[in-house]
Amino acid sequence: MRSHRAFTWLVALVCLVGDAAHAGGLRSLVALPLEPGGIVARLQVVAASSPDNMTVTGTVLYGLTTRQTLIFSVPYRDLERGDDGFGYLTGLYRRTVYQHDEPNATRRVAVIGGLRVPTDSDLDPQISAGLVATVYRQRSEWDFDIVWMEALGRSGNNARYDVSWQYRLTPSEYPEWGIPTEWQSVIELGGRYAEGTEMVHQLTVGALWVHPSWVLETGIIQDLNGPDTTSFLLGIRKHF
Amino acid sequence: MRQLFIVAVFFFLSAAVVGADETVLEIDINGMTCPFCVYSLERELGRLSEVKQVLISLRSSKARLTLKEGAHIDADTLREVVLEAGFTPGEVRDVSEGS
Repeated sequence: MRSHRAFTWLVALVCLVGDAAHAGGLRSLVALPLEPGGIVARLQVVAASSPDNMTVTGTVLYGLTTRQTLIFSVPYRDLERGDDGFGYLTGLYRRTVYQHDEPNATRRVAVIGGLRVPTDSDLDPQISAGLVATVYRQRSEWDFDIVWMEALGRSGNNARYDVSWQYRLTPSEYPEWGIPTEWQSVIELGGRYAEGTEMVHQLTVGALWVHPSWVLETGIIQDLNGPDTTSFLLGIRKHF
Repeated sequence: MRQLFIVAVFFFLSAAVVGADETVLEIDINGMTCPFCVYSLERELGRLSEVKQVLISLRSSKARLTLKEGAHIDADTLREVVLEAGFTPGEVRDVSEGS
């Protein structure tokens, strides 16, 4: 029972990290484009000191068309109690339903939906559905997401929301020609809900180093109301 | 000495003629955001067989394409590539020297 509860917490707190990986925040989903045939892979490690655990999440995005993207992710958790293993295998479909582009700015909205298959027999598969939005202007990017995960059985439902603000620290102005690398600060507010427990709101503060084909990311996740956990995040993304 | 001078002039003029045959196009692109997003656009434009070099300007929201010698590419093809990469194309201009 205790192991099940720990797993549920982990699902609620950590397993949902990095369902999408493109440019964008540390934990939020994003509605920016991925070219047809394009692949983005992300590896993200989240380590918490209390309770002592570490989760490694692998994510792959594949661009189907300009407006359609497939997202696959799976976390591997390493708990202090020895309850190790994979979490939900997630397969999501993202479709851009609104796009308004301007010079150095964009507003996009996408719907996402898919299936989450547990690797733990105590849990049921879940159907996911939600909305993602991205607003980019000047040096700031805002990402919003809200997702409901309905369990196809007796295990509880899950939900999440995120609001992320990324601000380009350097360069303050882009060069006339060429794609530069840049540093971005990130601040995010997110919520992770597992049925039967109170929603845990989390604040994430971090930084991104953005290269044209690589992103390195780091951050600190602080629970605002839950079990007072601080987690540390480290990740890498590669655009193939 | 005179022959050397003639050869030098020949090479200079040849280089000038090759340069004059080079077509340079610029296309306005809306919706470009961070380097990670724009990388795919640069790559897709560079895959066009007519294109020798691609430069992206995030500051000015445009791409500059230098075409291979004697190559031509129509504006609609360029716009299609930009659309496929997920961005919104705008005006296409020929900014070649002497155009």
